[in-house]
Amino acid sequence: MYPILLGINGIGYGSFTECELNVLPRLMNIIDRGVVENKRPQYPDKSWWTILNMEPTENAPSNPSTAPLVKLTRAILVNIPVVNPTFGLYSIRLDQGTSYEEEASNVVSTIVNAAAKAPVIAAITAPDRFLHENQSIKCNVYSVIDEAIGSLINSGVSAFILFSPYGEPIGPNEGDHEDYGIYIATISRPRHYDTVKLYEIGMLFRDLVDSTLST
Amino acid sequence: MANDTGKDPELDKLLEKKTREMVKGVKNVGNVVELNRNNFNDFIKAHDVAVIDFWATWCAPCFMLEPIIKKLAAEMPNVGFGRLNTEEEPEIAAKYYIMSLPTVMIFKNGEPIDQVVGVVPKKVLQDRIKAYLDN
Repeated sequence: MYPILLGINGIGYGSFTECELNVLPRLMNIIDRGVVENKRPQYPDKSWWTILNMEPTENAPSNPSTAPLVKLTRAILVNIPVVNPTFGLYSIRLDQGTSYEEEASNVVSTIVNAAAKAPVIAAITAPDRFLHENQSIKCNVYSVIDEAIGSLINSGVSAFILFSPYGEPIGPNEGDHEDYGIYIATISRPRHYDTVKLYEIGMLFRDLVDSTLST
Repeated sequence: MANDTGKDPELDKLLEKKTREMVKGVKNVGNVVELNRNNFNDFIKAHDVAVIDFWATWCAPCFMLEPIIKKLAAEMPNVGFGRLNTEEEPEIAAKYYIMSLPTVMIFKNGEPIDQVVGVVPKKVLQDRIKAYLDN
């Protein structure tokens, strides 16, 4: 399978212990891990454009397919929240119309099918869509995502970067999240004693694709 | 009286005493106090038992430990819970030989008496802290 870049908008390491997850904590103990730093206010579209452009981006270009990371890696896009509805093979509206179970399941099955043909860049938006307004379902959302990651790993994926572009939602405002997200990957980072910046995630995925395709 | 440098040693002592009284007077309501060079020493001296979480922004397990520390702070009101960012205060981290993160250091009467390195279950940490409350 080709490498996968999967972003989960709005999750943080703190809830790994709080929600007693199985897959994600085990994963972070066996492969490279880090902390994504992205200070408030954080918006899904700007955050993802920065990743796709591999440089800090304020003004959104028009077509994600022409972004440098997509062109360089020839990646298939799945559910990317740079527009509403999301962009790519699987697409949903950024509201609560699609359940977190449905999104996680469909994103994973779309990734598995697409990664047989090309690298994949995908997103799960459920924490952002649900947890700004309802923190009481947090561990339900995390458990569903944890299981989805488990089935993705079991499908045979061996090269991936799993990250969140910012931490957990804080309060009802769209741009308010914890400043620190997750980074768990099969590619090592150059500076372990530093946080991962958004534009670096794009670069790291480019390197992961390069190294995977050259072997 | 103020000396030649404009400093008043008696006033300084009074302010220091007042600060300690204020820290002691603050009820622990599940808060973990953010510590730095200005309040670290007062904090560990003001509590019979103080638990300090040494962390850094790049340290993923530090974020996993955070909710455990917060829960313990809520459940153990007799203990002072604080956290110190070792990137911002490397001198304090060096003073206590913090080599790995996260490290939780337990202080009794202002002196370090035990430490736990890495993420451990809440009960493990709780039992370690309790041991020093019973003594």
